[in-house]
Amino acid sequence: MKVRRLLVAAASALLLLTPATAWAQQVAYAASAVAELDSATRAAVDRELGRARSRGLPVQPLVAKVREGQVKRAAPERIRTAVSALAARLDSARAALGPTSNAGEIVAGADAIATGVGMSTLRSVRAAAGVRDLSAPLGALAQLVASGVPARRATAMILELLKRDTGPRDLLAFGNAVESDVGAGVPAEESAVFRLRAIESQGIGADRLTVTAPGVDPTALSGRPGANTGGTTVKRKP
Amino acid sequence: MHDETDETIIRIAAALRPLPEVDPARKARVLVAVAAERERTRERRLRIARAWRVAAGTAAVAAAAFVAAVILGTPRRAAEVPASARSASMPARRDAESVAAAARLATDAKLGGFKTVQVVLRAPSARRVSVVGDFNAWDSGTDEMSRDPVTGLWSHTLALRPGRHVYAFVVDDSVWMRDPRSPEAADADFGRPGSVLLVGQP
Repeated sequence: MKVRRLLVAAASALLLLTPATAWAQQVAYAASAVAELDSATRAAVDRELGRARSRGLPVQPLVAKVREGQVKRAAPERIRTAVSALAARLDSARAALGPTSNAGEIVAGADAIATGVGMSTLRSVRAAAGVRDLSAPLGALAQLVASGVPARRATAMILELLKRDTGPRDLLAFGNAVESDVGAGVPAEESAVFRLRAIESQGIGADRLTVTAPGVDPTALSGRPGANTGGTTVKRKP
Repeated sequence: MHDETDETIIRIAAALRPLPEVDPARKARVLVAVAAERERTRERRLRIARAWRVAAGTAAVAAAAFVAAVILGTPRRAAEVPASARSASMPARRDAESVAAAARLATDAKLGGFKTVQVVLRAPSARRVSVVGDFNAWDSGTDEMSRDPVTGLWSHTLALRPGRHVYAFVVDDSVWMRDPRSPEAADADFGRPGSVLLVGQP
């Protein structure tokens, strides 16, 4: 009888192990990241990870945030705050984008929220995109807003591009081009309007044009990673 | 005095020694091949890990079924699963995996796949340099840079998806250094800015 009980326990353990293998790998990955934290921070981070996991939120970005804090030698309190803030943003993004949104969309939504994009905006982008993946549109939106394009204007542009069925490739190029222009001294909104018009009227991919601000040597930009090269050079009037 | 002269001569000789010219197109091809090989190795590792998981899972289920059969004293039940159900369930699982893989490939193709980017840092006295960023979850053990013994330049080739990436260098496991050649990426969380890498289409 005792042997039988042992066998039942062993069978149950084995059955439990099967689906838990992948989960265990995730836990091991997370554990390796939080291992170096002090006990109070580790407990707080573990709680956040557990809460995120139970709510079906992606855990990997939270673990990456811990690693980022560690590699930047941030104070434990700061790591704890950053992880909590990111968890809250992921939660808000999922609430706005809907329960069927995938991990990429939730992360992109959280990034957009971090730049100041509101939840109602995320909802309107979801409504405009339907079942299409939102990672690229939201990534581009976050990039535009972070570059200095007013959130309302940036949202209108992204919605316009979605209405035109612009693909993820062009959306990513649009965000990159505006950020690159702003880095070169072009005002954010001006660059965004120009890039958008180029996509709409000429069908030219945003990464095929070079915008140069006055006093900036275009050749100096070409060596920079992500800087646009080739294509037409349009110089802004002083 | 002799040492100083020798050192000067060595420095002059090193400066005058021309580097062999490399065809940029050939160099790009090599970089792409290296990145592709890295990606293949990564996928091979993932496949092996998945195979181990499946094997472990199958073994666990088989062992559990065997133990349950012994306990319940009805060993036939395990074998009474219709052959049609068995044969149908396995290909279904395989198909699900291949569909998932195809979907992933389709997404990658839609985004233009990966693009190789070489990052370079001059740190002649460093003993170890890593590049960290959102692409490797800020893990300093993932992308270690290698040092050119002649120039002292540290370099590493990354295979990145198109889009915006934030990165920095970690020197000797302790010094945080952003790339001075790239635009700064603000950091509201930890106050240690990184650099922005805008990756276009391959």
